Amino acid sequence: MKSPRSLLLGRHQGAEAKLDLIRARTLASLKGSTGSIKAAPISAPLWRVLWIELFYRPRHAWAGIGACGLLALGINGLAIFSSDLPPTASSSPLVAVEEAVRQRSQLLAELRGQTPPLSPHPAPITAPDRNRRRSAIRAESGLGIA
Amino acid sequence: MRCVKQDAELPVPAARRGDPDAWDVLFRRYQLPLYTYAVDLLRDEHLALDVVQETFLKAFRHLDSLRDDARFGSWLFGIAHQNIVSHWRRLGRSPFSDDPVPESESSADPEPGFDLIRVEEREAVLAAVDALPSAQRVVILLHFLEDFPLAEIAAITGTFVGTVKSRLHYGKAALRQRLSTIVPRP
Repeated sequence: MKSPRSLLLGRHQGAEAKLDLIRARTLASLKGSTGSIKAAPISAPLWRVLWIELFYRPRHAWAGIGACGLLALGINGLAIFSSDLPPTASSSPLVAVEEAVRQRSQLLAELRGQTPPLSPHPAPITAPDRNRRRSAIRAESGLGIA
Repeated sequence: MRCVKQDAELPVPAARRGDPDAWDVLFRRYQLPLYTYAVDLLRDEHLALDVVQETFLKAFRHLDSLRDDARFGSWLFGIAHQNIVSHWRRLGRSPFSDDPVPESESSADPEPGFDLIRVEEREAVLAAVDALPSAQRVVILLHFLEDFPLAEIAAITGTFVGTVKSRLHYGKAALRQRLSTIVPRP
């Protein structure tokens, strides 16, 4: 009884002639393309060995590292881009400080019984000149004794 | 025990040195098994011949990547397998799908009144192999054609040894069942 191998091969025995032709053509083309039928050298040059061992074989690992690097660059670029956006009114520290100063000066004015300053930048409050004479102050305000 | 010629006896070292006679011997040794493998999977004679030629050319160009000369056969079948898969993809077929072969391509189902006893065993075996799902057929062909060990079949097909073992087991079981239906034992 024939083995399965011989059965399988026997079915395509008729293609042997075409296969012989292909084999002959392939060998001829190899001879023609290289001048001689010389395959790749057994001892490859050092640079080729290094290239294959360091880069070509672990190429998937290198691709992964490259992808991680690109991802990190992308995230970094996104962070820089988002920080370049104009600040909102609520997020600006300068505006917050100005608001706090305005509230403090308004509170101070209320405590003194004055009207709150209209300007967002209140004029500096000067201390009264204690060296002036009371008569001079009365004369300026029109309360002087006639 | 392997029933086919051991790869260690093949003139691979001479082929590395560029000996044309060595290449001729190697090509001659593998041309029909490679063609059988390709044509049984692709079911196209011209594509199978293309696969054989591409495999020879790639083998010649990349022989330096073969580390173990004793595995020349499985290495060569690996190249052929990759070519077949790329042809499959070009044809829009999913490689190793478990879809069974259409019944029209298989002569397994006898017509009513057909005398089963007259069916030759040879035809029955081939028809049963043809009727296997492609994933099992790949493994069965590699096992029958070259008697490759499971690890080498796994390397050729790019699958796990366990997967190969399972496919071989179920493939053989399917063959047995089909053959027992077609050629009933006396």
